[in-house]
This record gives sequence, structure tokens and C-alpha cells, in this order.
Amino acid sequence: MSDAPTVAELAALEAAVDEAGVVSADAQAVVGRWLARPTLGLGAVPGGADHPVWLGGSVGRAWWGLGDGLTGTVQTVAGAQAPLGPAVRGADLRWTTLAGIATASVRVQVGPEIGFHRLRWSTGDLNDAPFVGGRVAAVVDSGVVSLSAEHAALWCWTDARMPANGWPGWGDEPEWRAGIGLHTGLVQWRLDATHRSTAAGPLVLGNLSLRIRP
Amino acid sequence: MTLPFAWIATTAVALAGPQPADLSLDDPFAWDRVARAVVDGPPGCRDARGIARVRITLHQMPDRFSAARDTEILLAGRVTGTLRDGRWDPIQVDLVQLAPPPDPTGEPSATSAGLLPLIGTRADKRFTLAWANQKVNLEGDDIPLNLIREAIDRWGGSEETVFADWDATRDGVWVRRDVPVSEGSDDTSQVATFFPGGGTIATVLDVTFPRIVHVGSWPARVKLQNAQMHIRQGARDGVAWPTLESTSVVASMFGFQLGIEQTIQWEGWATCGGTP
Repeated sequence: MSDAPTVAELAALEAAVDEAGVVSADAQAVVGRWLARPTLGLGAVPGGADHPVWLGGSVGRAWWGLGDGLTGTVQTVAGAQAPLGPAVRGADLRWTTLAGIATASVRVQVGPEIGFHRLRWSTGDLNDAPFVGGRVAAVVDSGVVSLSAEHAALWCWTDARMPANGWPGWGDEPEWRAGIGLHTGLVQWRLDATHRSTAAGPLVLGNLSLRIRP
Repeated sequence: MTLPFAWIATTAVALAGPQPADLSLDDPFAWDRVARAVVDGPPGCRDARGIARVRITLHQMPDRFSAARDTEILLAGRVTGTLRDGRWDPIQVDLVQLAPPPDPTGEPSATSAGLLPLIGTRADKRFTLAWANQKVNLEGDDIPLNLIREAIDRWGGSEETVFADWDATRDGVWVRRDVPVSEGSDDTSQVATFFPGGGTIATVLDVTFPRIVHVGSWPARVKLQNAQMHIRQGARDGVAWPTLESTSVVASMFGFQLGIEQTIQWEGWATCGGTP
């Protein structure tokens, strides 16, 4: 068995590092990574007439600081999702860029989002509409389980759609999302539910997604 | 690196500081020769002892749904070795895994690891890298290895630039040597050495590489980020004594990002066979 340094000796080493003003690569590094997340969803259209399966995914890039304590983080992600089958047709395209601050267990991010949305189902439709707005997202992460909550305020910049009834300033079609994540080794599983208000009624979507997390 | 070097020398002298009148910075190469000797350590034969800490961190990225996650392996051990005229004969450390905590029901793990010290040159051909409780034996080549000389002089380009200037704030001379990271490259690494009061003993040696350096070719292409090396020295009896050294880098390969940091606090440099 080896004679390991004591806690006091290691503390003295750490103090010597601090006193010498020596920094590590980790403390200075801002790193970037590509990310991809396939998504499978089950939704409900306004009126509840149809329950389409949605398939899609997102790709993007994230940057974050490796230093201890409070660090900055930025990510830009493009996502696309569409219902499967003949009963419901449509598409949900988005590009979201979020910036914020993070600790080891808490993240808060805010940023702009643009998108395009269309939906036609057996008893109604929502006109093709481009949207612009913003999103705020907060995450609490234990390292094994994470909980997240998001709100997106989206405005249609054409007259394609009537705004949903809602509070002023929350967007023409405000969207709320809550989810739970589970980290299992290199795979991160995610289950979330989204509620989007439209003039025709609420759109509800539950999504299961995963991301390889090397 | 092949001699002779193609030198480009520049001397920059700050005018505002209280530079001693008899201090000459006209020959930066003379300063650089002294700076290069820092990595040889104290002269003669020395029995060295110190404490080493190796930290390897797997950085997992955050996204919209999760925070960043760091998984850290922390190893530490006592370093002993005989440094004879700049060469280790040999250097030895048994690293013990401190984090994550080893299995309490098992035997404490110790790994005889091959440190890559900044001070001195390793002459042995074989060395062992520690990774948690596993050992990886590597066959070294015939070239004695000092990490700074390997990274700067052997990998770097030949067209170097040397500066010597007076630092009025810290009251001393900085000698800076810029070296291309590879032959013909526009990216340069810098070795900065500080001599307090313009004396002959350096107390600080910092090596900084370009923020990002790529090594190898696809698919075994490694991105090295924020690589840096630091040596700190004290002075006693007109001799410089290394007190601290640190090497760190963030390496990215196959989608994995590893922070690697090796720190050695040197506690003593006794004359061989003598008292500390």
C-alpha cells in the first residue's frame, strides 16, 4: 500500500497553486459540442379529434465554460417535427438560440426563437404561419434526474392566424413545457409535455427523446 | 528540432520602469539560454521529494434539458527521485485514487505511474500511465523526455522569436520565446520566464500554447485546448529551487472531452546522500 498524501498536504498543495497564480486549462476553457436528439411524440389536436404520432428531432451546437462555480452557456438548436399518418398533416420547425448561466445543478437560459407551424386534421386546421419570439428555460439537475420548465412567447408576424386568448405580452400562441430527464450512463432520456395555445384550441404534445452524451 | 535555428531577435525595453542602469537587455539570447536551463532543475545531484496530484475530468455537455456534468478521477501520491544534472535516475510516484472513493471492502489501490514532470528529463524508456485502477504500459522511444522540451523544441518550428523586456510593475525581466507549434505554422506557443530584479534566477516559467491545437489526423484526431505548463521556483543560497509545477490541457477526441491536470509541489531538493 502506498503512503498517500494527507488531506492537509493536499490542501497545502492547493494553497500553493492559488498563491502562485497557476490556473488550469479547465478553468479557462470554453468548449463547444455538436448535439443531436431524435424525438418521438404523441399529441392531441384542438378538440381532441385526433391523436397523431409525431416524429422528428433536433441538431445544434452548445458552448459552455468548464470552470468551477457559475459559468456561461450558449446553444443554438434547429428542430423539426411532423405528425405521421394521413389523418393529421403538418410541421413544426424551430430555430432556438439560448444563452444563460449555469452551476453544476441549475441552469437558466433565455433567447430568441423563430419557427414555422402548420397543422391540418380531420375536423379543422391551423394556417401556415411563421413565428418569432423568445424562450426562457430553467433546469434543476441532480446529475441523475433533471427537471425543466420552459415558456415560449411566440408571435405570428403575418395575419395568417388569430392570436389565442391569453395574457398580453405572452405571445399570440404561448407555449409551456415541463419535463423530466434521466441520465443513464452515456444516454440521456427525456420525457416532456408541451401545451401550446392557439385560436382553435390547445395543442398538447408529449415527447420522448434521447441524446447520446459522451 | 534541427540546428541551427533561424533566429529572429527583438529587444523591447519598457521606458517607464525603474530598470537598473547596469542591466542590459541587448542580448535576449543570453537571457534565453538561462531561461532554457530552468527545466533542468537544481545543479548537481539532488534527491527530490514532493507531492503529486493528477486530476482527470470527463466533461459532459449541458443542453436545454440538463446541466453540465463532470466526472472526476483524482489521484495523488508522493514523488521521490534522484535528479542528476537534469536527468531523473529514476523518478517514482505511487498514485493513490482518492476520488471517486475506492471500494472500501477492497485493497487500497496504488498505481506506479509515470509522471511527466516539467523539471528534469526522464531517461527511462518504459513508463506507465494510471487510469483509475488500470495501468497502461507505454513503450517510450529512445529520446529522453522532458515535456517542455518535447512540446516546444521537438514538435515546434525552428523559426523562433525571443524578446527580453523590463517589467516595471513586477520589477524584473521577462524573457519571452515564441515558437511555431509546428514547422511553418502561423500559430505560436510562448515560453515566458521571469527574472526578479533582473537577476540570474528565474522564479516563474509559463508555457502557453495556442488556444486550440490539433494533433493527429482523422479519425484519431485530438483537439488540445488551453494547454499550458507552469513552473514556480524559489531562491536560496544563490540557487533556484523548483517549488511547484503544473501541466494542464483539455483534450477532445471521439466526442469525449477530458480535462487533464498534473500538479507537483516540490518539498525538498537535498544533496545526494546529504541532509535535506
